[in-house]
Amino acid sequence: MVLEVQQLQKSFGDHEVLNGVNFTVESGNSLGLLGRNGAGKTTTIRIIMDVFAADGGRVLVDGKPFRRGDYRIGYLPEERGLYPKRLILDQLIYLGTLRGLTPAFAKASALRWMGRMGLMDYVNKKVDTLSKGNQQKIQLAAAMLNDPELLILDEPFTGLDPVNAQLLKVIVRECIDEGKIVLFSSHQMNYVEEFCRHIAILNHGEIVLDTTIEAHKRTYDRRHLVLDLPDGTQAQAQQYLAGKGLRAELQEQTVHLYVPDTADTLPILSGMSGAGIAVEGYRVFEPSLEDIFVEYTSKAI
Amino acid sequence: MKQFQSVFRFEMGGYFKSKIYLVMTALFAVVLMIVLSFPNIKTLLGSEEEAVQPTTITQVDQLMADTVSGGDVIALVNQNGALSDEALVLLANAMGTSMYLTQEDVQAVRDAVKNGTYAGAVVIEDAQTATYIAPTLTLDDETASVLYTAMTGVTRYEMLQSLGVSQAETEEILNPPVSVNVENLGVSQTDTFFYTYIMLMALYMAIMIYGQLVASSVATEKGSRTMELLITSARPNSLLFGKIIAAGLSGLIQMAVLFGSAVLFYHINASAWAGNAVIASIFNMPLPMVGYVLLFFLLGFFLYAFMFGAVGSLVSRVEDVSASIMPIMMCFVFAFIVVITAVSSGNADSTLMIVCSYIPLTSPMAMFARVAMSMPAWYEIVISVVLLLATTVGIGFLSASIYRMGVLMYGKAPKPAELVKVIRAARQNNA
Repeated sequence: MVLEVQQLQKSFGDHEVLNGVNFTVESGNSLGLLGRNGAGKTTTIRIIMDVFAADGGRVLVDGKPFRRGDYRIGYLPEERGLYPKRLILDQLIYLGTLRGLTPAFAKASALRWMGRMGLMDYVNKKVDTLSKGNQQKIQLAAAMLNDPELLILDEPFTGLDPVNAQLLKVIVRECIDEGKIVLFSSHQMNYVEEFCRHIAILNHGEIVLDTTIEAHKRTYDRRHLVLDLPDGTQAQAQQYLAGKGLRAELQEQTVHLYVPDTADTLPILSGMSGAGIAVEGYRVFEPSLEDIFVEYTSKAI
Repeated sequence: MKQFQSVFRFEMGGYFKSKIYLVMTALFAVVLMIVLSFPNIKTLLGSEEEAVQPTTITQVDQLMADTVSGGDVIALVNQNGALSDEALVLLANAMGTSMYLTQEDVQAVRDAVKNGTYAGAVVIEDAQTATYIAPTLTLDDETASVLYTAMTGVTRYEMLQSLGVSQAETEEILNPPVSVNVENLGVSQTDTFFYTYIMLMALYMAIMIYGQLVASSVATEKGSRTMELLITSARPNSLLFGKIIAAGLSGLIQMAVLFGSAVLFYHINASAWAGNAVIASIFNMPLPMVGYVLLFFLLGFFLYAFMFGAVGSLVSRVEDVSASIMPIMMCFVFAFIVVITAVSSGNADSTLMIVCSYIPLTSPMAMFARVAMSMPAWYEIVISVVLLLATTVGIGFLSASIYRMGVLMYGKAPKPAELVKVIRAARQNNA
């Protein structure tokens, strides 16, 4: 199964929210949809979920227009909540049947997921007796009820403690391994980096970067190195390198070295050793996802 | 259809698992039971008080007997012997209450009325003039008019006697054996009034309460942010219609329980209510009327519930519901006041009522009142029902459009002009 989003356009009144959003994600893969607040992540997801129609563009699955009712979809909306005064199990069964499960199957599935979430004690409680994090786990259980082929998680980690976040990560990874499509929207980069090989960065309604994290990192200059040096020798090293006519910068106690050619690297390093500066290690500089995110989203603002 | 059933079942569960719904229904049934069993309960408690009928008086001495003096008695002062003994007896009988002919002077009697020795006093000043002295003139005190009638009768009697008419002839002239029959070609409003009133109240309450429940239920889903999950799992029409039909059915079930228990307890206590015309007129409501109540409840309920549902989808929080449904409520309260006023005045066919019985917002109550209280032609009923039905269907579709757009709009409720835009946009989206 391949989910393709092509040229989505959407305006609310005069405010243009989406201006040509494109991305593709296949079964067994996850896509991290990244963007700053108001970049259009939730709008994109809502259009995919047919909450409202796009002004232009289309959503395709395997090349055919996507119709929500034809697929099993799990959706964890960003703005989420459940009926505060109804029993949790009743609500899960209800949501399951709305998505086409039989009541018996919905109940079995709800109990299974409640067990998985460690919430068996709350099965016959009302939602408003639960903490925010536990409510969120119920929401996740609701999204998983119908064994979705396409799982859409909009900011799933907000409000979860590290233990619960770990649980969620395990579940999401399982989904990916089972061949589901996971569409993941967040601005918590560390989580995205953990299980999204593929990212799409949205900025002002446009996709400004659509790539795999690995491939993108490779696009950075391989001549930009980071040196591991014993504490207290960084300044000395920087001065040494600068004295050799090389570009070397000291950033937050780390020496960044720009070599003229990758072939020059080892000679320079051995030169440093010869000069009595111990080099414990070096690596090609790769920005963190957070760096990439900031780079691509701060420009136009 | 399956989604609709799920929504319907879940919403019905909401009512039948709600303590308020169950307790209120049970409470109403218990109140009806107590009210309708009241005559029997009273007998059981032995507190039944036989109204003391004053015995017919034949001689003036009886008016002066000690037994009639005391609390509930009206004192009678015959100043200067203005009336003959015979006339006094006539007067006392015509008054229909216990009277005591006293020799005290007017001032003494006045004091005695004041301190409660007598319930009141009648002072005969001359053959044509009498004064009624009351301790307090209560709202339902009819003594003065009864006295007027009695004095008129006594004076006529005296006049006829003085003209030399015999005793028997005088009796006949004063009480001529006339009889009047009524042949009613229409509706007897004394029979229809009470049940019409009760049914109107029931229509009003049911539509109001259940309509508002729809509005606040939609707003709750929105406020708790359950909506996004629902709207992405089911079609908006299933959600709205399932919810509204569940509310309507819950209302209907509650009404059925109430009317059912009323009929049940009436029949259990039937013997105690024998002879009570009002109660009998209520429970003798003809069966077709039940059909009309049902018809107008369903149509009226759906019309208003659709509007309430649409409004509920436009507000962001439950707290805003009551302010936003105000205009609709005003409409409905206006309809209720017009109809109740017309029913109370017995003129169910006034121009206003006729107009109201065709306007869909007012017709559920107005047309029902006309059907119950007068005899509109069959085509009038058909036109009214068809108009109402068509409007309800139209409003239903419109509401579904608004609902679809409204459920995910947060922030302040849109102004009417913005609303029109929303509806237009919704139409385009649906097309």
